[in-house]
Amino acid sequence: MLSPGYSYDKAPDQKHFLGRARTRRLFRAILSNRKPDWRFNMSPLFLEFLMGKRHYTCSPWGRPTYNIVGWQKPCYLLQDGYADTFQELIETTEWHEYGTESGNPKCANCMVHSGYEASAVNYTFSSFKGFLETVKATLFQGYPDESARKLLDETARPVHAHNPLVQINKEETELEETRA
Amino acid sequence: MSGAPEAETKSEKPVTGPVSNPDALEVAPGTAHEKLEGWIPALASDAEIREALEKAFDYRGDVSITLKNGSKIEGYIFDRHSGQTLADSRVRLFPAGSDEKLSIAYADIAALAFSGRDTAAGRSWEAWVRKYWEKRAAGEKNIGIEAEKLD
Repeated sequence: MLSPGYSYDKAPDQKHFLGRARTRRLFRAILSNRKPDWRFNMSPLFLEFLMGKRHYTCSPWGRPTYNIVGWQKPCYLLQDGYADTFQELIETTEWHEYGTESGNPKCANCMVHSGYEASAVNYTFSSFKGFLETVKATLFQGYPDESARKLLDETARPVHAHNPLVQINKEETELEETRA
Repeated sequence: MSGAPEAETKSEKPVTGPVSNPDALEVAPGTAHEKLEGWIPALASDAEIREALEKAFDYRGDVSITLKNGSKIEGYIFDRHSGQTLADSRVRLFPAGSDEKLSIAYADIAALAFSGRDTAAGRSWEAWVRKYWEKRAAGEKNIGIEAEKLD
């Protein structure tokens, strides 16, 4: 499974998350020019979203989570409280307050699968066009892209100027994006 | 410790409002966390009570709540609901050592203390790398990220 992390409010470390623009470049570099035997157990349209080829808004209702505390309000990273029943979750959650497009600063940098893969799946099954595009993305997943290949050869740059990443294995010369 | 909590980490631009164009973000600005462990907030006004309990909800450790009837409860707040008044606003918590869920109205709370250890404090990439090099210098092999022992 693939999903970008993001600077969710409760993460103790706030210094090392990529912004959306850099996240898209990272995934374009990784997922373009794929080997034919690479298989992802994910929506191919979500992978295209990560590569910057599609735009989706968050579906915070798309992945309801239940645990010993109850039904978790969106989302599992924000941990914005719990409802005792599924009905209470549906009826009392202010769904429009979640997702990057909502303006909620806690969601500002998010591209996480829990909200956006659900949107990709919803798009697949909401229209014949969406279904056909999913079939195409499943059958033709090479995504040849010379500029994406060149991204892999770019010199690494620290995410934060004041806080350069520390290279543990000095022999490797990978991009900092690929270490996200 | 009372008064305003201190900032725990300083990010370049703490997120305080809507980001104008999140798609253009190269670097996530992050959130500036506060050092809340040991903090005893003043609960003199409704606004202070609401703000302190919102921070208590976000806190990754136990808090101690003293009710207006004099009883004291220590536990982990996992939910809160902010209503129109303090009487219809509530926090829900697991008391320490219990599976029982308690619901307490804001209006019944006399005092609050961030008494438990903040389990998120001090977590950073730098701290992990420092630990990695210490272990490696000590000759340790197969160094990984290990789960912390439960209290």
